[in-house]
Amino acid sequence: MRPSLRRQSLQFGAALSMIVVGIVFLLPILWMLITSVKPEGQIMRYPPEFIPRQVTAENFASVFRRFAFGRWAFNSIVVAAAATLLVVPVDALAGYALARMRFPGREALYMLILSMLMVPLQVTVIPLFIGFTEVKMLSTHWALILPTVGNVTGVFLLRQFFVTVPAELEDAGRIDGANQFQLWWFVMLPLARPVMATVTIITFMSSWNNFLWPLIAVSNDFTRTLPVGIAQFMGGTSGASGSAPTYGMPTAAAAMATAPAVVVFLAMQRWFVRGITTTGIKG
Amino acid sequence: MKRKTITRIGIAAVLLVGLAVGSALAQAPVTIDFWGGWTGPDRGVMENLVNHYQTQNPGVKVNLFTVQWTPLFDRFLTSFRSGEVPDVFAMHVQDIATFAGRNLLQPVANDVATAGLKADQFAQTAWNGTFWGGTQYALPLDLHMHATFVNLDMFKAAGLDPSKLPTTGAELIAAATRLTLDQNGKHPGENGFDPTKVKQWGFGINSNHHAFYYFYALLAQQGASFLDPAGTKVIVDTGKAERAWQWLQDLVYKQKVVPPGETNAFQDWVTGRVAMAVDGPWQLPAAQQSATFAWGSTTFPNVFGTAATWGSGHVLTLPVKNDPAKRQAAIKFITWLLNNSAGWGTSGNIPAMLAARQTQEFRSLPGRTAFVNSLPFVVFLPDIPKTNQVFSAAGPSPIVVAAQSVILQDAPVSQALKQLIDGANQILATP
Amino acid sequence: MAERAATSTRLALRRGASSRWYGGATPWVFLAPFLAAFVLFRLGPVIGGFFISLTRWSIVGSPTWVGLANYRALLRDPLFHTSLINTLFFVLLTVPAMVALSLGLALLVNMRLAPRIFARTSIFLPYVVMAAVVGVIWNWMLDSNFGLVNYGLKLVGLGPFRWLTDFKLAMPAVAGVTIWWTVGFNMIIYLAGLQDVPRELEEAAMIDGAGALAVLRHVTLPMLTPTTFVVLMLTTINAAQVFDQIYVMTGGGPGTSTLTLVQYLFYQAFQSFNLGYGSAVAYFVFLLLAVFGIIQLRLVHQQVTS
Repeated sequence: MRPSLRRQSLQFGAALSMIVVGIVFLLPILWMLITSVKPEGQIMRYPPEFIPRQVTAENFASVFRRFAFGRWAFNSIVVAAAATLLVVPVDALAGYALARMRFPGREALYMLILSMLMVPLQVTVIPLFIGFTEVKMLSTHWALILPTVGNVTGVFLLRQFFVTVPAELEDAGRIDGANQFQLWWFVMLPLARPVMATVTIITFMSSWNNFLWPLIAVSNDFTRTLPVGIAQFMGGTSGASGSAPTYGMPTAAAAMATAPAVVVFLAMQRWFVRGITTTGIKG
Repeated sequence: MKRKTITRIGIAAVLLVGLAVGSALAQAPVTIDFWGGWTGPDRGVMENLVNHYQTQNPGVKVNLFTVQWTPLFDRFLTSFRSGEVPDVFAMHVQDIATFAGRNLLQPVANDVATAGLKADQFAQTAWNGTFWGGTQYALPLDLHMHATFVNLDMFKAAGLDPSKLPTTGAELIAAATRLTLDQNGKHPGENGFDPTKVKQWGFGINSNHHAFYYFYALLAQQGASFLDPAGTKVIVDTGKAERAWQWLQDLVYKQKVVPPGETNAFQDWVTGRVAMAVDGPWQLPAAQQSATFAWGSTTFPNVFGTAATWGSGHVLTLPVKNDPAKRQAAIKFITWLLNNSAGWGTSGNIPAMLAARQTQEFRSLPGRTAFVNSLPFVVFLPDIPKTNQVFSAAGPSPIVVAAQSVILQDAPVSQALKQLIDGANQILATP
Repeated sequence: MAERAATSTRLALRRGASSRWYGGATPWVFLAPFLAAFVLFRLGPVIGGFFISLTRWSIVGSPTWVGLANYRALLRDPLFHTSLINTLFFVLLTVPAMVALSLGLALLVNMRLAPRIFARTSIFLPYVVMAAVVGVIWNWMLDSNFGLVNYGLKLVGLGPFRWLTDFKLAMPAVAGVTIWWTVGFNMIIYLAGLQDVPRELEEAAMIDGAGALAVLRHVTLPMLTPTTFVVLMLTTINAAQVFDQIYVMTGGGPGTSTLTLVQYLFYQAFQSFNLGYGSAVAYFVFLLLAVFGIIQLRLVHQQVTS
């Protein structure tokens, strides 16, 4: 009886903490949403008004009316989705090779790959720009997709994961006559689902939120992505010689720009179910 | 036999496609790329003007692209490598040297003549600002400068006369002291005044690069310059410079009429936290929209005797490009824009074209008087190729660091000044 | 008894998973797609960037070769020194807190209780918000006069704090925002790692009478060591290169109190048009992180390949 009661109160406490933590983390975002439905003239008020006196869809309508928001969103989705679809299998292949196959130069190669994490990406923008200019591929979707495939984090995460898989699983498969690719596909990948879900999310976000490279690489609305598009009316600080910041439109655009990324995350949620990786060692 | 037929059909198809494409190109509208750094409500105003122009000129398409000035300049520079250079590029008066100095702008004297524009059609300061090294590189769109926004309701409540707004430094401090009230209704200097429990402040100033601009104006009010005429080193008179910084610092820490740690003077003003605030005319639309009280404006305070206030202006340039057809279209667009700059006036900026200011449309806009009155004594930042580096608005730049030390940190003025001079000289000295 | 033996065998096998030797092309076939993208879009530009750092160049026109002059100048540059110290400060403020908090949250959210999906989504949600938006939201929330944070603190009698204009508070404020923004990212890495801890192990230990805390200490945490290594490494590397949120919130200010290494890089390369000088900062960052990385990898390598 007693452990059950204690367990129950612990569980209740945990559940309560979950809710409180969730609300605390959501608060700033909720505040942004509330701001986005207020008319511009009512946003700068003190004390802050949680419940808007007036609600309007004007900020949202404004964004669509005046800007090619739909086009930007489409571009962002296409670019991020394509990048993710390329990155996950490519990184899974590379991570597996780095983790489970010994070959001359493996350690050095891995070090080289990892070391790229340590170079601030800003310095690659101009060289990439020069490269894409030479092959006349600026302002194309590929210019935005391909550099993401060079990202290292995914390979890092997958390699770290594959190192921890017991050798018996591979040996068992080999005894059954599977070749390396089949081993990868049928044995390793299913085990790696949570990590692959993580890499999916990370890659999608990285592509989705990229600002500096798309700013430099794309010069027309047709291929422009969301972060660059909405920067056109994100005033930032006032008086950057000339512009007064507004809050209504930026927060409305921000709310809409965040939504697809949320969808991706929710879709990946179910891959975090424990039990998929029950080790194949049964006795 | 079959192969020949296929070939013939193939050739015919190619010809047809070629014809279609050719005729499409021939009828294609002329497209002008117009880049600027307006990202607030002023962007909306420019957008409306651009759309208006396109409605009136169906054969022309104007693509407006805006992003904050700094990333805009980066984009502009890289565009010369990729060949996607805009046709019309906006910038400020003090940016001209940065780009003309790198041979990226076309001289516009001929275009000005063809368009029939003349110097006497524009405010003199604005027109003069479009020249660098004796050559004209731009056309003046507007001017903007500092002035003081005033909450007239608070003025009346404090027993001050709203028709006699302060114009000198002394008047300003007197009024601000009357307008600063703590919870018990006491003013700074009175017994029992508690600076930690102030519910209304008299004056608001920004602590970012604009604070340097106040300093710059106060220098000009003493007849002092910051740089030598060639723009190669700092030659400022330390005595006058320290006096300028000290006056600003004292507002916060001695007169106690400015809230310490203030980030956004205009925001404080429009929400009723401060009675007066210095800012630019770009805030006028926000004042019209959000102020819930009667308001007006007065000129930036004349502290040291000679009236001077910091200002700048947006100008339109023609980047170097080999496309005469687009250049013509660009000039036509710019001319139209200048002639219709009364509409641009709703963004708060003061149109440079004199005729625009005489229109009913412009005169009916509220609150502009003080800004227009400031026109004769506007001082620009030096227009040198290194302006964007020496006078950079970015965080670590010497002018911002100095301003923040003086105003936010109450640092000794001589120390802040020395850092400012050393920092500026260092930037000027590197090749 | 037999179960415990089986359990410890599994544990032992887990650690020392060995890999087979491969001659020939197979590894390279697997690596080829990634290596192609890596060389073209990562390694190549990084090397290009290094060459730029050996020049003086303002994007337009041709670069002027200056050899190591930029690096020598950096060593004497007081703003560079400031940015280095600030970056170290930021790393100390965020990394330990981030690792501990993300682990704690992962453990919490992993429990099979009703609100877990709500909690997991809410904690992760900030991560999908763009930097510019984070700036808009938090500049507003941390505003000394109108911000929600000070408003809330006022209700309990504290403050007001000048979060973004006080030279001493700005960096902690930015660190706090960073934790809100990215702890969800690290949490899901831990969550992925937790999926790997077999439930049977934990349950076996509990049947044997171990309390929840003991299970945590002796079963779960040791099995999470590789994950902790990943989180620690990624968090440190990201913290050392912090830029986006500082750019939108403080721009390196007030004064130079939040000027970090990459912020200084950006200021020099993209705001002052000194591309060569700014790029040199990047390679200094690389050097520092490389040293750190080598140390950490040596330590973990020993552990993993025992």
